[in-house]
Amino acid sequence: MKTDRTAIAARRFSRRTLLRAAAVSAALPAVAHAQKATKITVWTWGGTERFQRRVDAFKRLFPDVAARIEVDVVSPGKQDGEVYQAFRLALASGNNVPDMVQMNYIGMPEFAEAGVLGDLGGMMKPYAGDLVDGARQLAAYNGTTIAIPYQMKGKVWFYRKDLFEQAGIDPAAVRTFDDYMVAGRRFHEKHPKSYIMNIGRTPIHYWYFMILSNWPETRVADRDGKFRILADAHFATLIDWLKTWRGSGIAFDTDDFSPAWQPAFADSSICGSPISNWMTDFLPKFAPEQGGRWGITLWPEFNRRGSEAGGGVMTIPEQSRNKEAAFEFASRMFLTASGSVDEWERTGNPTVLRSAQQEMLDRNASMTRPAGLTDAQWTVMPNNYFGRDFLRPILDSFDQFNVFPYDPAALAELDIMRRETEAYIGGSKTREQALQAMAASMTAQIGNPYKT
Amino acid sequence: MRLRRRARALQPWLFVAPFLLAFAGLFLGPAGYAFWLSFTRYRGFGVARWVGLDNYRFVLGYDAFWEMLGNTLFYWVAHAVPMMALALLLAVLVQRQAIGWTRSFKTLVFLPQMLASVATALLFQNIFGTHYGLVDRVLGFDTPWLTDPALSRWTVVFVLIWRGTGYWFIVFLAGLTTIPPEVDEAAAIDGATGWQRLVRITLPLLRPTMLFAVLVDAIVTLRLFNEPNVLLGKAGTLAPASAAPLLNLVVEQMHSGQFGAAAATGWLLFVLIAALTFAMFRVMRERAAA
Repeated sequence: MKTDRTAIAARRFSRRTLLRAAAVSAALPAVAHAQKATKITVWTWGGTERFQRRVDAFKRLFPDVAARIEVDVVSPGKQDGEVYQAFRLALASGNNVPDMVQMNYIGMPEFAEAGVLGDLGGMMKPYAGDLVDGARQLAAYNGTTIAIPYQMKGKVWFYRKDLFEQAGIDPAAVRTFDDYMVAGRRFHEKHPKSYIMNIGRTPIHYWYFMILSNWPETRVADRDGKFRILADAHFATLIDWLKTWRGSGIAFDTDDFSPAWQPAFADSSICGSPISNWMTDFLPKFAPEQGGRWGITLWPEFNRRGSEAGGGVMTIPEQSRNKEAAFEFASRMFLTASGSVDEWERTGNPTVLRSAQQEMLDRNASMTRPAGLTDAQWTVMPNNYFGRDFLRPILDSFDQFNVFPYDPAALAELDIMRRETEAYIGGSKTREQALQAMAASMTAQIGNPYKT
Repeated sequence: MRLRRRARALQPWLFVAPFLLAFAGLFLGPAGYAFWLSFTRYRGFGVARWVGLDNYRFVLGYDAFWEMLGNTLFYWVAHAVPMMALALLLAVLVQRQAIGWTRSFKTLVFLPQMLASVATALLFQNIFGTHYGLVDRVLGFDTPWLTDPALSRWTVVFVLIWRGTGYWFIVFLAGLTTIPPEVDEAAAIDGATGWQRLVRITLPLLRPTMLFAVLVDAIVTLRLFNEPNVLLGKAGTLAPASAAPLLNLVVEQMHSGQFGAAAATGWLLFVLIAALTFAMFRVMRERAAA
């Protein structure tokens, strides 16, 4: 009996051992495979949720590549400035430098000039020919390719078609600054509680370079560090326009993203907004019941060229240990037709690729209400809200795209410009005083922006 | 014997050592580094270039620095005087049982203090919002409470008083309970009026509490940041320069990679707070001696 039990136990043991060994052998390739996956860290702002959807799309669209590249998304803060701050600290400590950093173009020159961003010229070469011109501008700083563009922020004018028509205003006929002022007055006369635009006492930061980027030769400082605030008349033009719009009665007295901004769209106090294409994401949510009444066109000719802070880019730090993997992720998502069109469907960012534009337009034209969408969600979908042709003017704005030549101290310069412009708008300084103070403060505070 | 004496002498230091180490590592060290940084041009990475007193000269010559300093001092004085007076008045009324329902009253007065400062500022942003705020809608005004430079700072002062009164009310009430009631009773028997007892007896005996209150409130207010920026700022931007406190300059400089200038501004703020604190101590002590 004892011998039989021992024999049975021994057989069972052998069987179990064999089964375990077989299971381990089967798992080994998977383990080895998983061990080969390269983990890259990406920094973004405003939480990780939005970027995580991008990562999920990456896994869905490119499963083979996703098996090799694992993406870890980190959000150091709510705004892009906090990402730049965290990036500076990481560079200073040498620890936790990410493999990829999302930036707005305005924040990039500081790091590009310092040489901490990787040169992507070689890796971008196969894709460069398919980029629209504006995207090629976004990818480069001072002649070197150092970024993967993913979002172009062109200038488009949102306007209430119905109310403009009632006031007898054709946006296409508004060409000069004076035409714009006349249109604004006429609109307000016809609709006394409504305005053609909004601007308050403290214009939001993007107004400045949206307007200045219209003039390709305008820059804040020369390469030798000389500030051009007094030498270039466009800075005077900029602050004059901001003050005139506010004081002329054609603008609703509130600034973008102030508490009154959203309700002012909802109750039709604001019936126009010369701004950027990302507004397609906000306006439907501000005034969902106004679907079908808003049109999109280019800015008036007198300031049609340019962009809003350039646009969004992905950069790869020089210290990154996984540059190739990081580039492969970004290039798949933004520089391939399937990735970039999917990006547009998810985020509203139009593709930066020439070859994918038609596919994007075709998909938009044939888009029906996605299954499972509630009425409220469908109402605010841009192609439902603005109409199926809403992408055309946005793509047209890319033909007018120009990236302002930001320098490494762009953020500090913007703070100074805003401060003095607010003093001018508020009446505590004359135009000359404000411009002099701008120039003096930049010289004293910044010195040569190209030297630290 | 000597060893035992030495050991005994060292004992208190052992108890205090954890605090001293933490203080040195978490405060003195970073403060010293910031002090050295204030003499350099440093963008947060790369090389810190020695520039001597340049950062201090730039900051002191910057009109925005003086404007923001003026705003900070305005917030301090404009809110501290009425707030302390109100808190003291309420504490005296409660202590003298002039208000019947004291438990509920104390809770009500202290309630604003229980809200976070950011939540409070957001709440009042909706109340005082231009065009669509509660005040404008209910009263039919269209007053730019938050955008007009002449009004926006007073709105911040209002919020500071609303939120801060409860805290100092409790502090003054606690201070009043340390005053022996016999002193007040004796004065009452001698024919002193309520006002005379308050001015001649209560307030002088309450001086240490008041000194504490004024000093702490001054230090906190001179480092003000949340209320003006949440109330008057927009999404992603700080309050305008016409209403910005001095700490905004430090934050702006750090965000634009001017760490040396930010450190210099921070140290100037420290010197200002230290100087004011010292001056207030002297004044209060001289008055006590007199």
